[in-house]
Amino acid sequence: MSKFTKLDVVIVIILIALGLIPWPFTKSPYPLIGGWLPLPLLYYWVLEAMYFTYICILVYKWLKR
Amino acid sequence: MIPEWQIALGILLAYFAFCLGKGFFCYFRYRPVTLDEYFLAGRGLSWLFLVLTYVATLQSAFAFLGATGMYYTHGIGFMVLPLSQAWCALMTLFLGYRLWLLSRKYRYLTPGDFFDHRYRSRVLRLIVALTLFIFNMFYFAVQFVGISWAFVGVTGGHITYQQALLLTVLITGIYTIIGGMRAVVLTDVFQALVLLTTLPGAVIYAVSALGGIPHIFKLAAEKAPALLCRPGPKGAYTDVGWIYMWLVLPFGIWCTPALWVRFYTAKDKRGIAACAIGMPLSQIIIFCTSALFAGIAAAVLYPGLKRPDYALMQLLTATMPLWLIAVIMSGCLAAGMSTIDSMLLVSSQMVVKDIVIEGLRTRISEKAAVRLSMLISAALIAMAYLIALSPPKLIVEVVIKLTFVGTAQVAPALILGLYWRRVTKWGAITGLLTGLIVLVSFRIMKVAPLGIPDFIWAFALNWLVTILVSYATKVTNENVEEVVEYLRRATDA
Repeated sequence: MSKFTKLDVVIVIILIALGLIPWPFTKSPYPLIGGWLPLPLLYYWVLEAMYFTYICILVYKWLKR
Repeated sequence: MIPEWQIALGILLAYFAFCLGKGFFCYFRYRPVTLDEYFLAGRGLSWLFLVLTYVATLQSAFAFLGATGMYYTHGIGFMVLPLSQAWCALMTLFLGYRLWLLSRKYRYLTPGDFFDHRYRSRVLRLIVALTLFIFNMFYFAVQFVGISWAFVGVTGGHITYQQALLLTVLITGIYTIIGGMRAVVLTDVFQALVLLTTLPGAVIYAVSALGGIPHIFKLAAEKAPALLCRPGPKGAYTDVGWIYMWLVLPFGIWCTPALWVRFYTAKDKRGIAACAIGMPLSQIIIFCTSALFAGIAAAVLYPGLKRPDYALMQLLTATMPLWLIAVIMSGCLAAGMSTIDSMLLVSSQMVVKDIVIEGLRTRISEKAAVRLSMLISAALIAMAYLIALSPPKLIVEVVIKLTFVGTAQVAPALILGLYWRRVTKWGAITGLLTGLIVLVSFRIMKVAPLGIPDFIWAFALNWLVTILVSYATKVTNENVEEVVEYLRRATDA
């Protein structure tokens, strides 16, 4: 794993913190984005997409070693 | 005209026949005579087969029934599960890869093999094996309850719970026992494809028939806005509760023995990489979308269900014919059976290798060990049948609910054993025992000192005691060179 850079570690920590911290705005469903999508759910979906994308990047780098 | 329930029953029986066929095929094709072949499919699984069996093992009947029920009851706060588990992918790259390297070199067969080898302690092997076995055994036995009730529901009650249980136990038992890991993998591959397509397909169909996703969310915002934010209608996901879910559960999921031994079966490191990606991807398909839509839709349209686990069935019953529900629920059976067969096999694996061969120092040939494994699997499935027939209340309340947080207790000894030269066997043993005793005793006494849940106390004290006792004791004959140094060289190469 030594080929992972410090930047990778920092990004992982930031991404985990974004999910781990129970942000105050997730305590209300409003505003409804597009008139129906609650903001907390949009946030969780975007976060999950970012997680998955970054995991794919890490796996790619790991395989390329 | 054939009644719908008979068509539904026919579909489920055809599915069972397929699973049995795979079992017999593997038995006659491979004739397993070594433990490597029987339990690890000869350590030669390609990345595609490995990722599918990994996903199938990971996603139990809970993915169909329980997850929908959780969204039904607690709303979108349950997204904490897929969000926190996404990082199990990193554990796979870091820990799973190292275990794979060690298993290739030292021929590990069970999780206990690592602990015995790293710490040169048979006592630790036995403690780990018993811990994983107890939590694993009751969990897989209770899985039968869920899929048997699903079977009853699909056949409209024409098949009784007892009949459904007997059938599912027999089918799962036969194909797992005779075919070993190869049969489990082959059925898992099919079952993974079934479960990953049926649930999303069913939910898209049902939710579209009920007005579409935006319509459902608009209704939820009007009728039950608490479903669409934290902490949810019952206050389950408070700020503190949210953080706690992140800290322990991913370790428990990842350390589940049926998933753990999957890494030993990989042919090359591409299999490990595929598992790292497959786990979050399956969570996105099932937990982030399908189960979420189904749970919210059912909560808005059918509030007040006595059993939230039936939310999906309620949704399907309202929108599609029984025979189609049978097709969908075959996915639920697939999810349950693919977890049960893997857990059955790994339970037998731990009993034979960790307890009979290493613990009791029994000298038997590989062929005899395989036969013994088959007998033990048969005994375990019979035990699971009896548990599922009448689940003991205390065990269900204590052991099942502690399965993942209990399994997580082996994580400190595993992680420190892989990375830290200074950890000693006394540190590992006392840390693990402390964690287990604190967890079970706090749960039975129903105490949460300082308002902190029992599993956080147990996990934190486990780490603390392992480290402190390791500093207080000397490294004697622990296998630092063969494990820590070997891994350092291998992963730096």
